[in-house]
Amino acid sequence: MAEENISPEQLKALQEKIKQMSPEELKEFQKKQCIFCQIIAGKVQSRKVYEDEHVIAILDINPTNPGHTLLVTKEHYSIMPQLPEEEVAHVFMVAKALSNSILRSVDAQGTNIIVANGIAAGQRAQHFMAHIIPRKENDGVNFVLPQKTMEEREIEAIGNKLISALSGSPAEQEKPLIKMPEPKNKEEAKKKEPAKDNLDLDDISRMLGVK
Amino acid sequence: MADKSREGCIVCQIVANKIPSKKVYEDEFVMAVLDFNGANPGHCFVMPKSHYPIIEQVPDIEIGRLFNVSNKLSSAIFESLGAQGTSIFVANGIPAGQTIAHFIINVIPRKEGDGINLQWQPKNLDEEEMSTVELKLKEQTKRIGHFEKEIKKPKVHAPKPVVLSEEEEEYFTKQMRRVP
Repeated sequence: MAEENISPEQLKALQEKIKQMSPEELKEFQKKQCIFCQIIAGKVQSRKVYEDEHVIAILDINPTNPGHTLLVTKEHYSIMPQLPEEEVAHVFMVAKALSNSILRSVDAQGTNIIVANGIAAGQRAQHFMAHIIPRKENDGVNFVLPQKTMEEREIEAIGNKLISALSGSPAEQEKPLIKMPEPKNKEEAKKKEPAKDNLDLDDISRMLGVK
Repeated sequence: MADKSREGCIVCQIVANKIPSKKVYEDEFVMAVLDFNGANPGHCFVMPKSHYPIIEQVPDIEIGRLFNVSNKLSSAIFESLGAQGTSIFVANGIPAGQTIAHFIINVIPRKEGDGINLQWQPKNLDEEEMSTVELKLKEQTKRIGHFEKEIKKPKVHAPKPVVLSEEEEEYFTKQMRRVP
């Protein structure tokens, strides 16, 4: 992806720059490029349907179905694993309540709650969000979760890996590669600033995402 | 737990160990197991031990626990399985794809081109339709705001300091002065 377009020198300079940034500077830098942070700050218009101290919920402008709601944390997190525990609990308590509100207001027969972490999972924006999607029979939405049959041995091995990762024992050998979505306003960003800055963001996100 | 399980529910039977499964996490409220017919290797089900068919029936406290376990599993999947992403997916109701009448959260490791599709074709709504939905939904979300808080039981029962009101204090001082 992005790193293919830059030289090793550029990458090095970039990593150096990121290292020298204070956590506050990093956060500010990310916020500036994040459309959802701008929505939260009121700089970009949205159809807000709920707001409290920690989250806002807005209508998706490209909805799966009418009533498709995006539940967004006010704090900028790239992916869900970065959220503190209290924040996770709060987000999904609100998601439950929103699911209920959606069922009552748009005459839906069900809801899907979806979180995508990383491009491979379909994440498009660089800001954590939960989708709450109203569903009806024959609504033309076709989510596919294929069933792959696995051998017991394989399940056992994967399960043990997960158990040791959950218990916090170090499993550093296999570093995950999380690709973050590119900023939507990339074209604009290119005009204003040298292309390097776009790459900065990718790199920061990936670095943060890994942690 | 027995009184909260539902006979004939496959998830309750997994919780009760009547159906074998590969357990990856368990606490008093939550259990997480690997799906033998998962969408990808490492696909986990996170479920409440009590039988709740849909999310609306799950108490807030358990919602917090369930999604935190899901999130930790998601991190564990990144860390130990080298996944490029994770999907967290809940189907609430048959039209949403729910197949078992017991609330579960799917935590799915993702790789590019893995055959899973959680994308959609956006529907075009005009401004008026969007506004109508917005108003209706806002009307309903007015009720949101009271969440059940976890009651933390104090481990040590420290005696409460006795605070006397001024009047009482005066009385006690007088009483004490009487004592020779």
